[in-house]
Amino acid sequence: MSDFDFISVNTIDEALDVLARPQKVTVLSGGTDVMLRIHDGRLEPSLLLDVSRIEELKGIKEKDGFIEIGAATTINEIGASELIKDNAYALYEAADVFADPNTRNRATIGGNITNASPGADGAPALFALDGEVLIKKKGGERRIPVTDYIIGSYKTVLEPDELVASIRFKPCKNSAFIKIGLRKAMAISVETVAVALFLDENKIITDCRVAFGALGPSTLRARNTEKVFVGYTPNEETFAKAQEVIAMDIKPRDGLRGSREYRFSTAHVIMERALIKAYEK
Amino acid sequence: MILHLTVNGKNVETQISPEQTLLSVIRGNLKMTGTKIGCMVGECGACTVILNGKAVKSCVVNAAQCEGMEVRTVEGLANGEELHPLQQAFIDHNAVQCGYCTSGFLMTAVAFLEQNPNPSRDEIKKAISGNLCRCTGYIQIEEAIEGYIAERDKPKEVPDNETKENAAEETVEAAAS
Repeated sequence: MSDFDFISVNTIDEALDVLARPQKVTVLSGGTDVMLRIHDGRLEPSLLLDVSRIEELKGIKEKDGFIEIGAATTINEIGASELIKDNAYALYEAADVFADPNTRNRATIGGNITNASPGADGAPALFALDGEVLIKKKGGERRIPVTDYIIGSYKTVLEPDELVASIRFKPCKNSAFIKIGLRKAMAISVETVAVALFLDENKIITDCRVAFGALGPSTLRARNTEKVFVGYTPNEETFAKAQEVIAMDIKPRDGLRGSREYRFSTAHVIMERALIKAYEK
Repeated sequence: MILHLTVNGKNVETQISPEQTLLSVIRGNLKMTGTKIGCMVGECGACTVILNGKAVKSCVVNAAQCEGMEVRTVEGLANGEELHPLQQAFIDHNAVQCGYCTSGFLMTAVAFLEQNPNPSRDEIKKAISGNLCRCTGYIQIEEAIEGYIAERDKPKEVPDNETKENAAEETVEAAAS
């Protein structure tokens, strides 16, 4: 099993040099998913690249009107950040129910979106916040919407020589996240919803984004449903209208953790709750 | 490759391979078996140790990443023959039945109380939410942690040597029951 090497680097540039090698390099940070996948044989790297010591990949800051989170920032660091609590409450709430407190000491936000599990709890909040992923490689970089980054179940557009450096989004004062899990800790989500709202001075919604997790092969944006609320408020009428169009956005799958019918009928309910919670913040 | 760690205050070095977990180094290389193998997928918390001050599930921590770090395990809690007061509280509150999960709970609780010395019951519940116990049902464990806090914060009225004798008697009673 130990047919691979290990290298630990201290800078992004060193990491990009390693990633440019013609080898199957696996990036390792917290390891809460990578170590599992190595041990059950789903992942067979020839080189394990430890990025957990790269300071440039850590921390949360305000930059150019965005909140920027380093890819190797842990979920607990996100949950403890006042900047996140004030400007991305949905992400704060997701960090609070993500796995369990000890896993959150290791697991990172870059790992969460790159592992791209359908039930990833960090992803819906970033989808709703219109997050952008900064991807670097030797001699170049690109920035893409997180909604284009995750393209399927455990699938992203990350190329073998690329590294996720950070995720950024515009501050949002009205956002919320709700998770349905079968227990309180270490629960893989039955379904999750994240909502981000922007309001004008009359508290009318000017922009609305709704994202669901665990309903299908990957996190998704409910682009038809969210439009219903623009120009209005969350109320009985808009909820009724949303219920008419939600089937255009979500096609829940049958699974161990919830049936298609259960997921479909509860998705609207948790969305309503999240909209009200975000609106009233 | 050679891994250097500080384990319970002692410097150790050991030969490891890159796929090894911190758990396998602690139990296999260092022969310290107080840290338990449970689910091996980061679910149950039996393998919890404190890594650079933070409780982690050592079955999903890559060992090579821990180069130069400080690890604390259940073996480091007692002071010689004298149990750590939290260990004593687990005994006093019957928070141990089969005992398999206990070292994990202790390490989670020790790290948690260092960050939050005066938690509410809800905060305690949340802190231990990633550790599974299939025997006691958590209530006794929560009571033990609260009992430890109460004991810790009790005004010290009696001289030191007397307190120690009382504690020793209680240990014997608990062990006999």
